[in-house]
Amino acid sequence: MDSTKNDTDTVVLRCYDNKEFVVPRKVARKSVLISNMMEDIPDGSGAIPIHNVRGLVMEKVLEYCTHYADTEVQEDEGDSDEEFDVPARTIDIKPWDAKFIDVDVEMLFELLQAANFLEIKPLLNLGCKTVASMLKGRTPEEIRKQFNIPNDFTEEEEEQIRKENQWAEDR
Amino acid sequence: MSLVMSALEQPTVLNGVFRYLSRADLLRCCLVNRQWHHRSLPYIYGNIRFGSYWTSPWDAWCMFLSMLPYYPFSIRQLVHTIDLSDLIAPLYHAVPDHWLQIVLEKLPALRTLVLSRCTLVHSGAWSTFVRPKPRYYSELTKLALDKLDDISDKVIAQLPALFPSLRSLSLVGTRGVTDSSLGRILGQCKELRVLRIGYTHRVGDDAWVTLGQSGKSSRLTSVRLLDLNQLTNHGLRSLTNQCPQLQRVVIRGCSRVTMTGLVHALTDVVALGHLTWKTLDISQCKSLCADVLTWTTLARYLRPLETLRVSYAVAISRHKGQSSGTGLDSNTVARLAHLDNPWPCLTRIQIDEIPTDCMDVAGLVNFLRWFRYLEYVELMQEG
Repeated sequence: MDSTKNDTDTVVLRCYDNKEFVVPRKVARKSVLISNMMEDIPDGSGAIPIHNVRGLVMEKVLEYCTHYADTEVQEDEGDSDEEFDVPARTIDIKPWDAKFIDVDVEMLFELLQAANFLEIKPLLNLGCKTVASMLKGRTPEEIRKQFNIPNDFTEEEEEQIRKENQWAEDR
Repeated sequence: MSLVMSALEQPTVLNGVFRYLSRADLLRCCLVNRQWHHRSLPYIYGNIRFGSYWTSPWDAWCMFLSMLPYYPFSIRQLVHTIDLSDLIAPLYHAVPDHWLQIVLEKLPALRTLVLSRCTLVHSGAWSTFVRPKPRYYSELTKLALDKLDDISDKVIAQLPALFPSLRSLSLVGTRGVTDSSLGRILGQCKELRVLRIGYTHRVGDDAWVTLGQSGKSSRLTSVRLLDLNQLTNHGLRSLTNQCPQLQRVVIRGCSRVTMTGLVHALTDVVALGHLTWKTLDISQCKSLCADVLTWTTLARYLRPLETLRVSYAVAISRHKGQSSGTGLDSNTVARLAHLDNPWPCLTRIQIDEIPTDCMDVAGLVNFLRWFRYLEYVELMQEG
């Protein structure tokens, strides 16, 4: 199917709270999931249902997709034969991205979930970088508290892990 | 808050987050809960480097080595890279000779071993490793042994038997390499794709010529030869003939290779119909010079080329109007531009050894104009 012919055309996305968005196809195609759905569903057959995302989050997602509508996605360099030194990944966030992702924790995690579900890899990466920067320098206890994660280790298990990691502690 | 939980419970999200954390942060994250522990382990143990990461790398390494045999299999099988580059044993410190054996025996999934400039590697350690019972490790595909002065030709000749699945091998500045050991590697490591070698007088043509005579061809896609002053046109021609899948060709500072040799090698490759070169680096080769005819030939042969690196003297004529000299002058380039769409894929060029005193800016700009699709230009001065 020729998916490039109607680049100026729009498509309707309906969120689970029935909020609808009319979106240019090239913006919608930033999501691998929606892109696949557009190919499967014949033209003019109504709105594409997006069950797992609510309108408020979708609005934010579409803001991102619109901003990057004309940017080619650059794939992460994989494991190449050529390189021996894998550089440590640094958290660098572009100014526009930083402003975009400056939201409260709940919105951040809803965005992460939406990006994961809709398969928008750059947005997912941006969310992950943001979470990673929130974890930097934090103790396990602080992390549990911040994200409300219960500790399911037994004392013995914790002791065992500390022992295993001994060599790995910087000294 | 349950929403926060569920986003962080998804493997793709958690993995995505851990990719951006340092080891120190990961060590704290792995104590958060069972799931975080399980997901962070591959990032903590996957790629272990000692040389430059730690405050006292030697102590960290010794501790790791002593604990390694007692680690559970579930952790040992996560390690895919050990990087000991620049790890230097303290003076008067007894170096255990069996470390390599422990590493290879206890880490069944090890794919990459980087031992460049590491004083643990010497022929003694290697022979205790090889002698008791010869084994081979077919998981290991990448090996870097750069700048090691203490390993012999004999040790290097054993590499194919130990690591038959090698895909990448780097031996830059390791002077133990000779034509005979390199010949064995080329003949026996059938999967080898990437080879880097350099700064040794003991590697010339023979390794490549022998490969040619054996009628075998190599699967090398990338070859990097640095400062090999025994390599001549003869060896170069055997090399390019025996490696039909080459994409990246670096012959930097090989002072006996001439332009005639390169053109002959290229003529063969084109005649055989397998010119797939995307990168060519012929910078700093002292005997290399190019006149209009050779440049025209290069442009015709090297149509798939994407990246080119040459010395200034090969590119630009220092004397205007002189046709016999090396390089191109402005008038000639203007004429060459009429060739049928020259350099259709070339987007990246680097010009080396630009003289500080007599740089011909107009000539340089004119030369660059010949490459219509350039996106990156790098200019390096002499010295």
